[in-house]
Amino acid sequence: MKEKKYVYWVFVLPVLALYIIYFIIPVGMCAYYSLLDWNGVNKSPTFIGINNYIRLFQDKDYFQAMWFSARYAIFSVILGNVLAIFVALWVNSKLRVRNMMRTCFFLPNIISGIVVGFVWVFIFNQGTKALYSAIPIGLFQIKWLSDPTNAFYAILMVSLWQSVGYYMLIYLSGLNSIDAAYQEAAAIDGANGLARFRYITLPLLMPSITINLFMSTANAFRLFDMNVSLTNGGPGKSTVALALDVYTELFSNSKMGYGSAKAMILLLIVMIITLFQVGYTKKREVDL
Amino acid sequence: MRSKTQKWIRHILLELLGLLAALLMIMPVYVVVINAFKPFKKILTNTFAFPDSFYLDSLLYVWDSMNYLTILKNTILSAIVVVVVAVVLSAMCGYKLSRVDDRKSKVFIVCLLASMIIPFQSIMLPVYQVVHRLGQSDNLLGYMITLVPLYAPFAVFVYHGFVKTVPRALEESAIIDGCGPFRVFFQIVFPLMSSTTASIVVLFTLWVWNDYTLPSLLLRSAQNKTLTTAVYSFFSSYYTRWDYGIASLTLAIMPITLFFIFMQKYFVSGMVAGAIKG
Repeated sequence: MKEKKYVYWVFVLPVLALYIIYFIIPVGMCAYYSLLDWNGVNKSPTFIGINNYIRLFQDKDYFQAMWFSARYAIFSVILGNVLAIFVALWVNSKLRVRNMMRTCFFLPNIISGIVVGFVWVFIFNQGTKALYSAIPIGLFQIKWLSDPTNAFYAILMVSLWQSVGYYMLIYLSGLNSIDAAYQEAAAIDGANGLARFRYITLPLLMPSITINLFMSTANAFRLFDMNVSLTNGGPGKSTVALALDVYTELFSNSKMGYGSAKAMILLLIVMIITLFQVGYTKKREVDL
Repeated sequence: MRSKTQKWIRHILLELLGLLAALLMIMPVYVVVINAFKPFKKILTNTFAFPDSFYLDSLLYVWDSMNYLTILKNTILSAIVVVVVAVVLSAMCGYKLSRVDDRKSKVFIVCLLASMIIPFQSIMLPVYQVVHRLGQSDNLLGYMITLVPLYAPFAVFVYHGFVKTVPRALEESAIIDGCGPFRVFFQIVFPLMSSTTASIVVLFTLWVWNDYTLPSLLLRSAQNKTLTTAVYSFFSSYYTRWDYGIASLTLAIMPITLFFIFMQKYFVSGMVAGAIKG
């Protein structure tokens, strides 16, 4: 009953062929371009070895983008996960409004980053203006998008608003898999709510935390759509994240070689983080 | 007795706070949608008030000048084609890679897995060039074909895992009855995986719908734009005319929100399946 060999390839080849054309070849091309001095139009680009990578270390704008992304990653990962656990616990309680809460918290996640950014451009401009004329307090006078420091927090806030519902879902599925018997036993032994959370819920939630931590880190370095629509890197270049920086270098400045070197660094950062994730998750699976 | 009343008050407070938090979450979207039904002056003076008349001029203006129906058709068509092609091809691929569990299958699955972590922005230039060289830039079909391999690895991975839970005995008895390998897959295995398929369909629809980077690179001409790119150019060119800007946002938000409300069940399972990919 041995199946003919061609059957295997008919099943597997379509995805594999597309994958090679649109994934493997581009990664190779990107690695090659990163070694060139090339404006995209020139027919004979000059091969300059690792000079593009060396240049990256002296590029102040690139360091600013790297610093922005790193800062954004740290803030969004920590705040995003703390908020998501909090919301998940809240939604997981026996409230009547829990379904509505889940829906409302998740809703921002289905809207594209581009649209989300513009929604908040409206809120940060017209919305806060209207709020200030109704309630004249300093909070509503903050210029969220025209000040470099505030623009960072604006992006952070909006991205938290959008992503917290998603991480909440992962934590909810984690919470649902915890046997209620543990909680009951601890309650009988006299453990209060906080102790039960610290010594039962949190350790048993560890797999979900691991997944979310690394997923949110990878997503933080992929920040792009909202970056484009909310601030487009401004004011100045203060809110340019790594992905937007690659995009600008390639398609606005037409520096194909230098931009590709930046693209390779972005790829490496996300890859290293995700490999850590896989390794760490695998290790935990053995432990549990 | 007293602690019971206290508990009851605490419970009511938690309910109210939950309701408040939920409403606050959707507030920005709500504000945008209600303002799409107001004239420009009312947006400036009464931003948070519910519209006192059903003003449709800005929505109609955007509908016409953004070419909304064409844009919507492009987006829905892309979503349907990409979802169908990606789901069928990846189900086939994931199924075979799981059933023929030899060394080359293992290498393939690891390669596909590795590609899921590559951020698209880091390969966008070469992808653009490949598409351009194949003569498919500014072409809706070319865009769809490019999306399939970007999304397929995830689905292959999910199907690959799910096939392991489908008993082989069904397939073996069908083969003994003279069923060919393709009929075995499409008539027996594929229908058994329909819950997984539903989750992936919902997830991919969302991905195509919200995709911005690739259409912004590939689909330059106005009649080929999808919703995200159309809204981007529209909102950017009407930056201070909120009435037109947010009318375009409203037209972008409405369809996907309806889809979400009807498919909420699959959204949740799809999103959680998406997380397990790690």
